[in-house]
Amino acid sequence: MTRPVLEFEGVSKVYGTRSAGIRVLRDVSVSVAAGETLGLVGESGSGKSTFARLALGMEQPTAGTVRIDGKPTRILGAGAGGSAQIVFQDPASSLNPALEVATSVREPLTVSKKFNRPARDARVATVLDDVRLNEELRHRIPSELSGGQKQRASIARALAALPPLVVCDEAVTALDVSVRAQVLNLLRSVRAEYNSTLLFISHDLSTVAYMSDRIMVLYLGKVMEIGRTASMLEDPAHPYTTTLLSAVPHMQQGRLRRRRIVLGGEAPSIANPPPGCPFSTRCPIARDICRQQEPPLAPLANGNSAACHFPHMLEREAAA
Amino acid sequence: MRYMLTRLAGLPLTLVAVSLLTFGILFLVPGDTVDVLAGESIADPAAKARMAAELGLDRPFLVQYADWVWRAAQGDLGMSTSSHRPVAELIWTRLGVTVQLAILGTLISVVIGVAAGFLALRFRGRLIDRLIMAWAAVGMSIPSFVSATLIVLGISILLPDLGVVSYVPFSRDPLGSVASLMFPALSLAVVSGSMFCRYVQGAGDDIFRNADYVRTARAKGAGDRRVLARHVMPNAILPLITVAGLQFAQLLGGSVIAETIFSLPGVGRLVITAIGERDYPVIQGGVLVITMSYVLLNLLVDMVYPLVDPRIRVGSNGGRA
Amino acid sequence: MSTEPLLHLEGVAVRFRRGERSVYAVRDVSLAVRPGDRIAIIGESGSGKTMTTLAMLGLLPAGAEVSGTLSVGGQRYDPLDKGAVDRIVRRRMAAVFQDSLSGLNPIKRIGTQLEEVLLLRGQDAATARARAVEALRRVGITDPQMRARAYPHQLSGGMRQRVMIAMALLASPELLIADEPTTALDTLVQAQVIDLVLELQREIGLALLLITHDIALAADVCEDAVVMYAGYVLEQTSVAGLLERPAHPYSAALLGSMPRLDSPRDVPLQAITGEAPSAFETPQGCPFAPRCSYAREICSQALPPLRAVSGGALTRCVRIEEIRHELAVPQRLSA
Repeated sequence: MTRPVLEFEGVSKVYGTRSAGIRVLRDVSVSVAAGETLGLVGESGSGKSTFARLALGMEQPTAGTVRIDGKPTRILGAGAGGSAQIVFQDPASSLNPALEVATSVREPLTVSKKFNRPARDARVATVLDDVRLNEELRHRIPSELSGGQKQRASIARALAALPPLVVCDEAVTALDVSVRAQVLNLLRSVRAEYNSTLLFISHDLSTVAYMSDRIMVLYLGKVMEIGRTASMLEDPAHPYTTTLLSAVPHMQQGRLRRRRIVLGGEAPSIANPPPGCPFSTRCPIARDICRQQEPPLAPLANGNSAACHFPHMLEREAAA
Repeated sequence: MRYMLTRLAGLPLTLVAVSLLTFGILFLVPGDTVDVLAGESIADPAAKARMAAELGLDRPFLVQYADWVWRAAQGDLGMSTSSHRPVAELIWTRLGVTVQLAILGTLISVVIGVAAGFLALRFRGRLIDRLIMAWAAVGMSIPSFVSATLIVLGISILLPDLGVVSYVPFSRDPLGSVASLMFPALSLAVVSGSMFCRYVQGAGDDIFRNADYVRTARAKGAGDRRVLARHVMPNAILPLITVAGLQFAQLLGGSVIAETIFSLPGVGRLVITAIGERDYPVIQGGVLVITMSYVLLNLLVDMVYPLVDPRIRVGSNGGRA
Repeated sequence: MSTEPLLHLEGVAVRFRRGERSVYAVRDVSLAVRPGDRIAIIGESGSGKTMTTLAMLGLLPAGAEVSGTLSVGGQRYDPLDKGAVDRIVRRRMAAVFQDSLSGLNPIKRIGTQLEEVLLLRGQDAATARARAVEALRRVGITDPQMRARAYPHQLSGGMRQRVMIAMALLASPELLIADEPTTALDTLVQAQVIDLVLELQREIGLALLLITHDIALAADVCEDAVVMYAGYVLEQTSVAGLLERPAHPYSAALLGSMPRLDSPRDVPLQAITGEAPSAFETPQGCPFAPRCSYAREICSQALPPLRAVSGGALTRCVRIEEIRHELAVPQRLSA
């Protein structure tokens, strides 16, 4: 069994002091294998941004260990020594506005020191070919490029030094709808070619489902459900997952249609999590035990895992 | 709260640095320090040695510094070498004038700046706007000694009967006191007022044209005048508070020119005179007082800002991961 | 009941002059909104949908030139004439915009900003305050009295957007224009806000004009759709018609390019090549032709006129009769 590219082992992250801190992530454990894409789903306050930052080595966990290619991020430092790269929502963020695109793409190669001069030139040329940015566009500065072109350049920059892990944080959200499919297709093809491991974050469930092999659903810093995409979409175990899926616009549900589940109340504050299951304050099927005992992330019959006392129940009820 | 404590934490270090440098001035002066302090060249080595011991100059630098600080904290800034009076007393009697002038100057410039900025915005693109902004550009470029001199010149031409307006202490006649500082304050206000005007106009114009909440206000039916008065100006002026505070702090030390030209008995003029007379204790004491006030005022301004901006004053509830 | 539409646009164009050149944000838009209608204007960036909205509301930025006719309830108005906009538009139309944080004055309390709507309409302070609190309650904000004293940054995105809706409602509009009202919000919050809008729309009998780039959202919310591209209307039809039998290759391409929950993961998405034209260029012929897989010579010769085709749709596609059957998306996409 090859070593996973990304590992979270019992990771918790607290901002602030131990006594008066906010637990942004609670006991998260997951392994992502080489070539796999893990989709990350969660709303504001779910901890998904923190998860991404931990995966990139930009922050260190308060408890537990984050490993990239077997090496703890504590040792690798920020950017995991180049082992992890990110494609941002705003293409302008990763490209220096004063530099030609080709120069920006070369930068990670220079930093990584693993490539000598001719190797760098070759890599830059290759990766820019892979993202289909022609010769002329390579020598433009970002302001001279369209949104889609800029994002391609960002992807090239992320992949240039062949990092084991690439985090795509809302990578297509800021792009026009007609361009999104282009860039998603591009991501799929370079992923296949490079056998990249992707952490794919998006609030659009349809996009996440399309791009990911497995999906992890976060709520208030805790993993609610994690498992293979197909089975999660067909038969979600956690009521939160079911609710999210039911809120996808009809047009995009296709044959996986569900009746809309309307939640009451507001999302609880992460500074004041409810006792028991964090979702219990809004869950349509919450029972007493849910409010008293926090359900552990437990394996399910279909191979996925969910943190719920009554897995699949809401889904079955809704289908009936 | 945390914000305030953080700011306060940096204060001691700043004060130490400032006082160290101020004290150190004396030793940077060319020539023998004993001679410098005595005010004359002492030829006899024995007499010099005695003088040095008397003045405490034979001790290590840091000890002298500590001693100086200790005494300053108790209000003893040494003796003036030219007038042989306590430095602290000299400074204290003049501090009121300088502070008054700085307050008046800042107040007038804020009023002028905001009013001018508002008018420029209200009549965007029209003649008034252009005239005001032209004045602002020129005003900012005028050195204060030029504006002060021009005003004096102007007074002598336009109001020849005015005679010499000497400073009237506040305690004796408050109104007269303010009146006697009017022209000097104006000379200062011309410069900083134009800066404020540009500031207000710049920030205000940006908000007026681009802010989404201005669009919302218009969508509600608010006309230009209301948008300007209720939405643009309050937001544009907010950062001005900090700037005005700093300006005030600067005027405390920088009104030397105005004080000199208008013959006002202020701290600035005291220091300038002392420089001419090589009266180092006065210079040290004066510089110390001025810089200390600047640092403290700076801090005060930082403290005030959160009180006015609700975004800092009242934190947002809930966190976002 | 008047037979005049609530809002009527005929041949509207919006232009900005940049020295020698002109930037056409909107080139030719015509549409009519009647009471109770739920219409979506669907378009990407550069399509002209936002400028059209701003023109309707008389909120165009400085330097805009408008041609064509705009009328509310039969009364024509010039969007650049503030007086006319105040008299004619503000009485009957209100808007909700995308960014609720920047759309609210950061140093004023929520309640004050809500009251402003009423104060501008001559209401007295006490009544305004009470109605503002009531409006907050109506949009589902708990503890409205306390919330009214809050500042914008103290509320969550979803709550702020509700505040914006409350603000719009206080103007007692007959038509609510919502410009990307949910783009910045979380999925579930988005659903809640949309639910609220629809509920209010039913209750008050509002007409709704939804401006969005998200066809899926438009399909969930509206009955009719206007698809814009490069400042033109390319297709105008019912939502059902759009989903089942699109009358323009652009619409069909958009529909086909969106991933669905049941999209096979090993099949690439049907992407549209190229990017939208810039507002500086005036396209020769059909603006979508350079990216259209059905384009022929005839498409680039002249701008196709907007015309009616079978199924009640309006389209600018010259070749639609020939290709429509190829465009039809399979049954499972329909609502």
